Amino acid sequence: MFARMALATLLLTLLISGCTPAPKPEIRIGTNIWPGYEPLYLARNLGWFRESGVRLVEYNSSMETMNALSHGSIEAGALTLDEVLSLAQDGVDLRVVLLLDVSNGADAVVAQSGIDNPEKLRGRTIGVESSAVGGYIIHRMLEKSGLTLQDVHILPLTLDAHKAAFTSKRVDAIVTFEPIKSHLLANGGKVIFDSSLIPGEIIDVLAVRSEVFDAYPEAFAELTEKWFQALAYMQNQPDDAARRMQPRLRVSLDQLGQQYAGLQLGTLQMNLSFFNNATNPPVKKAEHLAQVMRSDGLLHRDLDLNRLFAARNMYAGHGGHRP
Amino acid sequence: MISLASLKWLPIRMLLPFALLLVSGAIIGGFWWFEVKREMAAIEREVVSLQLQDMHRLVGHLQSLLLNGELKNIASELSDFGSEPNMQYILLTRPDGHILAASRLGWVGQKTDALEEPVLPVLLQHRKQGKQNHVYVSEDGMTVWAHYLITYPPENDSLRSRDFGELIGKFDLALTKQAARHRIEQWVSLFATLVLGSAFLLWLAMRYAITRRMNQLIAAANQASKGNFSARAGLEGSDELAQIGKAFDSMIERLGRETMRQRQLSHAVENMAESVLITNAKGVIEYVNSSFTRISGYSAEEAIGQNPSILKSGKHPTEFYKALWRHLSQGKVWTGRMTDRKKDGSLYLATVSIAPLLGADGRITHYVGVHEDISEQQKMEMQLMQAQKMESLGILVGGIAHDFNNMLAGMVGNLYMARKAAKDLPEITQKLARVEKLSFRAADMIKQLLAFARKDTVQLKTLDLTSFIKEAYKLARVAVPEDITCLSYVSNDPLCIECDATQVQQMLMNLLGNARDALRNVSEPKIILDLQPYEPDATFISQHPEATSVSYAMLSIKDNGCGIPDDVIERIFEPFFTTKGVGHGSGLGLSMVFGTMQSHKGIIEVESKPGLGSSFRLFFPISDKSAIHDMPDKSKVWRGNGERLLLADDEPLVRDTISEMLCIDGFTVDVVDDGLDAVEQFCKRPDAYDAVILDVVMPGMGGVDAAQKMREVRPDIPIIFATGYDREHVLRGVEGLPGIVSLSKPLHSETLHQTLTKLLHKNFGRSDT
Repeated sequence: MFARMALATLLLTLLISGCTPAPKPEIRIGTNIWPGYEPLYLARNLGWFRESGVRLVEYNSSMETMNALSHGSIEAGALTLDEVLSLAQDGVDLRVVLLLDVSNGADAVVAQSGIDNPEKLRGRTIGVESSAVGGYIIHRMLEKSGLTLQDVHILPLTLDAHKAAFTSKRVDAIVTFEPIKSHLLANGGKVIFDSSLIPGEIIDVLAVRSEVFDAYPEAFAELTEKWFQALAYMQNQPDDAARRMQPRLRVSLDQLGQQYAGLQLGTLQMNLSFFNNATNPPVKKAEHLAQVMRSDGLLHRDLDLNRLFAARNMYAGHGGHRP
Repeated sequence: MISLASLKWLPIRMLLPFALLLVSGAIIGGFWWFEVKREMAAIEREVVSLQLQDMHRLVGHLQSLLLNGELKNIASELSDFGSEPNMQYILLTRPDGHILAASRLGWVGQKTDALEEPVLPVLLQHRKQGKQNHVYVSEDGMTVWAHYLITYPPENDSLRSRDFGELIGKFDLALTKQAARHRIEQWVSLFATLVLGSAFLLWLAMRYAITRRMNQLIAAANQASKGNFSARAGLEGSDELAQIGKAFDSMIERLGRETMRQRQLSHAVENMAESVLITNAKGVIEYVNSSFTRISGYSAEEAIGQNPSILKSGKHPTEFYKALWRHLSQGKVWTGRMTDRKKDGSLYLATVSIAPLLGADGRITHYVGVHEDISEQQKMEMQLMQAQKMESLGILVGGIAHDFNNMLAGMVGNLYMARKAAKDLPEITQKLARVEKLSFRAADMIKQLLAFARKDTVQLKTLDLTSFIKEAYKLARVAVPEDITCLSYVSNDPLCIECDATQVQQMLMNLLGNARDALRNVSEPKIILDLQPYEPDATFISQHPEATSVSYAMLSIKDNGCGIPDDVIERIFEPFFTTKGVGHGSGLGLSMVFGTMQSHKGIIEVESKPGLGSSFRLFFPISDKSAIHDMPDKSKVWRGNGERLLLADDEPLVRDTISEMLCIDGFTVDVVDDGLDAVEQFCKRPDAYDAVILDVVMPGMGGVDAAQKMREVRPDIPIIFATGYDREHVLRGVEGLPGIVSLSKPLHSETLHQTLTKLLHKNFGRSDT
């Protein structure tokens, strides 16, 4: 008789513990407006984040994202790798968990008509967002065309000033990216250098505060799954996807396709080859970037880049798995 | 309302754990419900209070930004507010309703009602419900709304603006509340597990400390109730249960002892030889033991419920019983004798003792009666009395007879001599002869009396009774008249017994005489004589405990005469008791038989039914010696021839008589008056004497001692003992020795002659008379 009572109470206990499950941890991901980050918003729009604790915090610039991440106001952020390194330099302990996109022409140097190659920029003014990406592109362009920084004149410009500066011919060339790039090209600009010439060097990643990642690795595994599912949705239902993604990007539906030209969204394959690459591990890429940033004065100390990519264990089991 | 007391059906080891679970369950349930409610309320309060602060700051900031026209900063401000805890969205509308800035960048520029989120209708509803606060909780408690009106700078340069935009914020409490609920549930399950574990431990503890031990007690109690008083609980410890167990054990032990004792007592009563009956205060029998049934013949079923008056014999008057009950009702014990009646109607004498039993209040509740059947005892008492009577009669009679006999001896002797002296005077001789005859008859009678008193000389010889009776019967039949049929059934086998032939003859004569007398006036009178061997059975032995012999010769004489009535039959063996008229019987016949059988170590049985007849049975113990055929030879008489005899007798008359007798017959007689003189005389010239005649009882030295002394001097001297009365033990030691004969007084001359003939025959030759 006692056994029966014990069983009943045990069931009751299990019932209780099963009553209200623990809520998923709150993960606030900060992004600015960038086509490469939009699949996240597609996922939100489709309601895939409803049961999870993922909240997308919409910033207007990556600077806000970086500030929020640094202050702990958000748990993760979609940033370019150089931005991640800058934060790392400031003492923010981050983990790179997902390769969001690779710039493959999206970042470009648009020159005024008449200037058809970077060599012609000798002694000219180049407008650029004072960010690491811009500086990196200039650096690589100059490197590839045998110029040095002294040979050119750099004019820092915020993103919203790019259009005006170009049309007013204040600058001879400008380092920019979509959607502004398309606008400038429409106004007679010409691409003289872009990220397709330095493939795989300009990447956007999802960086997470290390203590959050360590506490909830399964939440990020779930998130990356949803990311890949979003990419698949874009593939399978491009029109519906476009409709959902349009509001934030502020382009018309037909223009949307163009937004992704020159941009490679980070598929599972790309993520696997990025993280599990033995010969060219991500650490090496980061080191390369760090070197450039150091020489540009964007970084003023050495960083432990291994910590940054410690999250690669997440992909270890995925070797050989086709999405 | 279920009270714990009504849970008696639950085993104790379950009770406490069950109660614990029940109570804990209630507490946990209560806590859970209460805590959840409290927590939910707390969350709402907390969020509201937090947002009140935050929103207030935001609003202030936005106002100033608006004033300065810093739209970009407004956008970043709202974007940044997007990371606020619980934030779903926040938006700021322009006075025209379009969204100026929002945390959802995609909403910028749209109208609130164009959104997929039902923003405005909700707010409208709230406003209708009269919600005044800027930050408030929704109806379902899942949302916190923030609603502020923002003042826009006036379009034109007027002082007071009438343009208001709306700042709307939605905070989602779902996740926070879920987290809180989860936390509480975790606590609840932890507590439930702890409670369960405690209950189990408690159950275990109860099981060991109480249940197991209680079961021991229960088992012992069950055993005891079945009657096994050796059951013990055997609980150790000093708690209440152990105390109960110890008390129980000692109780059972005492109970066992009491029961044992009761059983023993009731067993004892049941098996008592005496009959026990217990009645209640009203005299109704409640219990009788087995002896009661055995003695009275009433079974327990027949007796219980009856009154003891079923035993009333009718021999006691009513006053007797009244006195008995009066005595008892005073609370005293009554003892005495009474005659009871058995179920078959026969009566028996009983020693009775009745005791009243008092109850706790001192009143009589029962009577216990013990009846001891003393009919056997009574019979034995009577037998003893009878024996004693006969014994004293014997002594009396013997004493008289002895003296009488001595006088007779003198008479007979003198008469003999007188006859001899007066043989020429026939008139005198005739008269003398008559006197002699009478004196012989007197002597005979005395002899019979002496036989009764067992004081006569008994010479037991081994005799074949079969042949003897055949002869004796022939002789005795002469006295029986012709018209009486005499039958005899004598066994063919010889039956050797130790007996005195004369006395047996006499007995036969007496018995036949009595039978003859009883058959007077009887048609078809018959006398049957029967002589058979007899082996005693248990009944015979129980009736005659003195019957020590293994086999007997039974001589029975039966007649179909008038029989002996019951009131007479007790006295038939008393001397001088007779039913015959004066002169027809001396009343000594049967007493002689009685005494004779006593000395022969035999047994008499009498059976008689008035009108039908009587039967006398004499049992002689069978001898293991063979019979000596020794018939007295009357043909040879020897006269004396100057043989010298020594005569010793303390009675001068006897002395003179006998010596004269012997002198006449040609003997020389030396006379002394006591044993000492006899010895002295003899020792002077032992060889001079041919025989010695000694009186047994003499002063100084008795005949036996004198004879012994003489025998020391001359071992072969023939000795004749003359005895007046015989105590067997007096002659013991010398009887049966060669050359010694004992004769009883009065000494007949013939007997004396015969004896002398026999004794001196060896020493002298025979000569014809």
